[in-house]
Amino acid sequence: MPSRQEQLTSQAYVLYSKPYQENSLILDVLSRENGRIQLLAKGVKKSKKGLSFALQPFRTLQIKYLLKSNLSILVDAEIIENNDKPFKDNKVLYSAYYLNELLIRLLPSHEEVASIFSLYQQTIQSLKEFSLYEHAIVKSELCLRLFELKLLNQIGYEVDLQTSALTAKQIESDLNYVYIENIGFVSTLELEHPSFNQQNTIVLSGKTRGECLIKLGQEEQDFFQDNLICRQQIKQLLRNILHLHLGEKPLKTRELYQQLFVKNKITIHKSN
Amino acid sequence: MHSPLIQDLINHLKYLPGVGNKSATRMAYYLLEQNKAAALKIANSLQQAVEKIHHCESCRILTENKICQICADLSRDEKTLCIVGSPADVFAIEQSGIFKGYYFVLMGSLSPLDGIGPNELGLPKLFEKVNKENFQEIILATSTTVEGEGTANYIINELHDFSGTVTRIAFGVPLGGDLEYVDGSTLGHAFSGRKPIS
Ligand SMILES: [Zn+2]
Repeated sequence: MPSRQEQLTSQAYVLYSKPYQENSLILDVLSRENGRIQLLAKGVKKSKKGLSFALQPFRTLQIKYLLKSNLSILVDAEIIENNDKPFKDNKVLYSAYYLNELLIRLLPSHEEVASIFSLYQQTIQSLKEFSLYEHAIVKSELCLRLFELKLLNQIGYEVDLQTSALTAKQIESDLNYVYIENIGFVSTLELEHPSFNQQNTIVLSGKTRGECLIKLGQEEQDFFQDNLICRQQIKQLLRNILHLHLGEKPLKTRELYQQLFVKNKITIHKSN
Repeated sequence: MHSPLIQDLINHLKYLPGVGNKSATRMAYYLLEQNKAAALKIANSLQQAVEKIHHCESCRILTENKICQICADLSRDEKTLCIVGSPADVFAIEQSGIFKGYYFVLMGSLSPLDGIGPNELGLPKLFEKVNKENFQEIILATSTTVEGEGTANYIINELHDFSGTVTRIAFGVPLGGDLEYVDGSTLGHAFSGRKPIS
């Protein structure tokens, strides 16, 4: 007989939940102690404590659970952050869902990565903060890009924003750079140079100004808020790099974001 | 152990929410041994319902008619529209007797990771309805979960050119998050305490 398993405690965020049978949920959770884990929350929909209400995304939770190799068991959960604010801006809210999907797609289960937990926690807090202001999504962009970049680093894909990969020279503000898979940034001048052998290299589409890369590395919030071109270039760049890891399957949250905020929709007539 | 037909029945009863192997077996033997007439009625009802039930063209609730009973009732208040997440919410509100207008049922909420977007919730239909009819107040009674709030906020944004008032029902304490779990008097307070959205 196995001995009674020890109950663990951790801070955690629900990334995704789906109903299981009539009153239960299966949760995908990012925990500080055990990384991403899947939890069965049995009978929570009937819980008098309002447990199913607590088990929602973007809330800092303290969970008690029994760790299993496959589906762990949730014992209890409570919201630990008193001022657990909601997102005041829907574009920011649906961008936060995008982060959840990235974690689910890119972060293997049961890898203990405390730094990812802290990164996620800080990012969610900053996004909630930004969501209070006008132009919230513009303010949030650098935060989202840094999350992508740091997540890539965490899963072992370092993106060097400082040096040109072929010459080991510093990235220069005024040059344009392309990104070559498994190599790094190469200026368009170097790329066109006859000595560069393009064979067996995959050059990602799009160019990025050196200045944007430098400012990204320096996490310059004000610069990105004021610079649409850099926001666009960095967004495209990271999207392309992430694509190498995500494969062909599209991101559902990105499709929804497009549907909600970008595509043409039926509008409400002014005079009713 | 069970004969193939009985085993099939047990397996199929297990599709029902909350029904495991044990209950399914009990149900199957009860129907076959003690109440074959009821079994036939269930079979017949299921067949009929599945063939004939579809979404109301006006509010998306389930009905066998083109237009459901509530939408067809001309004595209701044509100036107010209440947007809810599920048919269960409609029943809860109807039982409380607090609301006499018409409904629109989203059948869910925007769920980014499940790929449930505005089309799945019939939002183009909702906005068409708002354009076509003469509502003076639109009440958002979606749940207070993160997804429910996101959905409400999205609809509110889309309604910014609506000439009437948009209101959100008030919840003192966030309970289960879904209206169906809220009792009648709480629901009454939530309705009368609804606030216009600035
Ligand atoms: Zn109807």
